[in-house]
Amino acid sequence: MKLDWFTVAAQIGNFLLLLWLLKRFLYRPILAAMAARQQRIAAALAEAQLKAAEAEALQRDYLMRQQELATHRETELARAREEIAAQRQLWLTQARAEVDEARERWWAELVREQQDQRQTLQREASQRLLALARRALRDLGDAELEAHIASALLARLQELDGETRQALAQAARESCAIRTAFPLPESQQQTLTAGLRQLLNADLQPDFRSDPAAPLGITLETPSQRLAWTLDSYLDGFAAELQALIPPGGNNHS
Amino acid sequence: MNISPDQTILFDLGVVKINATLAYTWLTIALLAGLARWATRNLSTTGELSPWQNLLEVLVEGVQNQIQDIARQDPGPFLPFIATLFLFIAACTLLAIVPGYEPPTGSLSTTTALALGVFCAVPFYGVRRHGWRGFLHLYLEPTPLMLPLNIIGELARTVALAVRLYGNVMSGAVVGAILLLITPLAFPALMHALELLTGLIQAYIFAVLATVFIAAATAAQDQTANPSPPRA
Repeated sequence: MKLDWFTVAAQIGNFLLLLWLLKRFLYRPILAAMAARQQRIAAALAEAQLKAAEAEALQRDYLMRQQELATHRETELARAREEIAAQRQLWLTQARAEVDEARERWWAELVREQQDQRQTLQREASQRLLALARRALRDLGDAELEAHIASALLARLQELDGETRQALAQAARESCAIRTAFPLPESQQQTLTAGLRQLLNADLQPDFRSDPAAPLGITLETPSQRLAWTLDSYLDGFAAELQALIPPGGNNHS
Repeated sequence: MNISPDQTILFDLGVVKINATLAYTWLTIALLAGLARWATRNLSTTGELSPWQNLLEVLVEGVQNQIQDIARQDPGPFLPFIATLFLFIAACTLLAIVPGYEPPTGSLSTTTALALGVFCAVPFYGVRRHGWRGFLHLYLEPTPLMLPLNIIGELARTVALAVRLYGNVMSGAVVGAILLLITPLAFPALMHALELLTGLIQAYIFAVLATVFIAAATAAQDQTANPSPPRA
């Protein structure tokens, strides 16, 4: 076992050379790569933690918003329910009022129609009654009846006051006509002419005309005045009285 | 039969004698440096690692963790020295299976050189950590009377380091050669495999002891209340 000091020194040098070479080509690059990778991992972890923190913050924010939304939703729903109930009540009230009004209107219309119908019925009944009377009198009418009517005309003329009779006489002097439904007999014409001359104190020469379409009666016509006695005037007066008896509107709603 | 490659002189240039120890050391250095250069030519800093990079990172990180566990200190400053010791001794031992290769660690000169390297590294790191005064004060602990014994212990552990490694490697080679002469072929092969294992263990032990010595010299004062130079 011999120790070669030259070899020892050379091996020390060799070892230092190997140390330098490995440090240059092995440890430094490997450690640098590991450090770089660790740095990348640390950066990635830091980024991940940052993102996790952001995600957690977002989640908290989201949950808070969700809670707020739920609370707001409940509040809004309650308010909407109240509004809907109020609106419903309002519309119901309005609908009831409209229905009541329509019913009142309809009832009033119904009553009015009933009254109209009743009045129409009454009017129709009276007109038919009058027409029946008129036809009966016309059927019974003849020259003799006309003579009585002429007497009635003279009686009416006599009932006139002096001034009216004077005006009538003045008008009759210009033109005068006697209209009847049936032709008057000559004697009747002379009697009537004499009666007129006496009552009106005028020399009259009436023109006698007969018209079958004219109502039963006698009419004295002058250019400005007219004096008549006809059955129609009686019936018209009766109709007016009948109409006056029919009430203008009913008050029975049932 | 040469029991040490020192005795195989390849070139004799007078004072400078290039023996097999130096030649195989250079070969080993070239291999290690070449492999390191080749393996680290395209290092990746992303998640995709080549198998070689993966192997080297496992190796370097393993050494770092071992130093961290033993020294309880930042392994950064010691890593190149300790890892180079381990890699050189392990490479020499592993290459012993190549026919014709004589491990330089089978030479007492080489192991002495390595032990001297540790011997010098201890004050180097100790002084760098504590300064001259603080480092030399360690030899006066626990009492100045211990100074001679501490110095003897320092020298003895260096000799022990050198001889332990030399004895193991050399004995393996010698025993293998002797068995090859007197036993069938299978038995020396098995012994050779065992030699690989013991060689790796020796590399590990040498590196661990170097770490322990350096760590004892660089330990913080509060961690070593009564520090004393470690003994082999």
